[in-house]
Amino acid sequence: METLAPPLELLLQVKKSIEQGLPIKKGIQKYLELSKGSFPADLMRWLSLLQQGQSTESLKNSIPSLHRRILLNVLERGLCGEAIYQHLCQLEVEFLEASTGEIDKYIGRLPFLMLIPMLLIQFPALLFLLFGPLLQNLFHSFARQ
Amino acid sequence: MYISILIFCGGFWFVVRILEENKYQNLFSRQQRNLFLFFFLFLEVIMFMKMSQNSFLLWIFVCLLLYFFKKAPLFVEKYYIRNLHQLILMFIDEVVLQMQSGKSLRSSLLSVIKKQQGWFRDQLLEMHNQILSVDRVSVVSIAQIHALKIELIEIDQQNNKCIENLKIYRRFLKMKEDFRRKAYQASAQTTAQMLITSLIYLGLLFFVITQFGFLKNIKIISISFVLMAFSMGLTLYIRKSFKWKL
Repeated sequence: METLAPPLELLLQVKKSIEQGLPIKKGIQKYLELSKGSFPADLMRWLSLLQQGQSTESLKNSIPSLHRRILLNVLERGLCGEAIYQHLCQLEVEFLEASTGEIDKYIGRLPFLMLIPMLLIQFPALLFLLFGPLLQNLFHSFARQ
Repeated sequence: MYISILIFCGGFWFVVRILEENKYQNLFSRQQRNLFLFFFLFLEVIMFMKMSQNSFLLWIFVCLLLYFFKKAPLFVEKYYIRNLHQLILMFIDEVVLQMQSGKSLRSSLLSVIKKQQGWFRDQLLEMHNQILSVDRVSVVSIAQIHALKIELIEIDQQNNKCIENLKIYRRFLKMKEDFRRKAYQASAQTTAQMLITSLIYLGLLFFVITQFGFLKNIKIISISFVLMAFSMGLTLYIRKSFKWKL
């Protein structure tokens, strides 16, 4: 959670490359060099299919996230020579909003998720530690009587 | 009594050896290491006075302390790495300022690196040597520094618009840092909860051991300890279970 969302990071990396006067492919390669996970693996497959001149539709359709599919479409157009900087700027705003929304949703669920270990395990452990010796002494005194 | 003295001296000797290791020398200054040594000695003297008749307990205590000292650099380094983004941003700010005063990229880098201190300076020096030799292949141990190195090599090789490219990179890092801070605030509540429950548990454990004895209640203490450790593990798992759907 403390990293950027993968498509947002890729978008920012490509946008930075364009601003620095470098080709789009350089930005994609730098992202692949510095990132790990399922999205970089999909991106690598997508790039190699593109370089071989094969269709990338089936790969893109297998990606569940709509944002990632849209980004790959835009990057494909960019690699074919189209100017995509304005599109990337617009997508950046969308992606930032979507990332913030996802984090806010998770923050909303977190207190309820944290109740599970606290109520079911930690609280009994504390009670057990506190009352266990007392009950043990009580049972021993009953047994002696 | 002689065994306790042996354990006391052995523990002290081991701590001196541990504090002379490279990990400690890279992370802490000579004064900080002396402070740790004094702290260890202080604790050992107190425990020796309390437990000199019971060599086994003294030995366990010294072993726990030694284990703590052995593992402490890992946690300190993790703490430094967590704050690395801000340090890198400040570093780039200073480099940009130096370049805007008329210096080249390489001389700006060197003069800013010389002003840094401690662990961060060592990391930057390693990075700087690899930049000078245009070494893209060697991986700097820390990912953020490695990414910075790659970026600086490319900016250096371009030879023009260095300041603009550095500013673009700084903007990119700033956005990442803002996002990271927001996400960290979310996970901070789980960290706080874990810390507070751990402190409450330790306080309760100390109370039970002093009031009711350790060996008499060892079963109860073990069961509660296992439950507590499991709940901490589950809390950490819940915290790290976030996966981006975006």
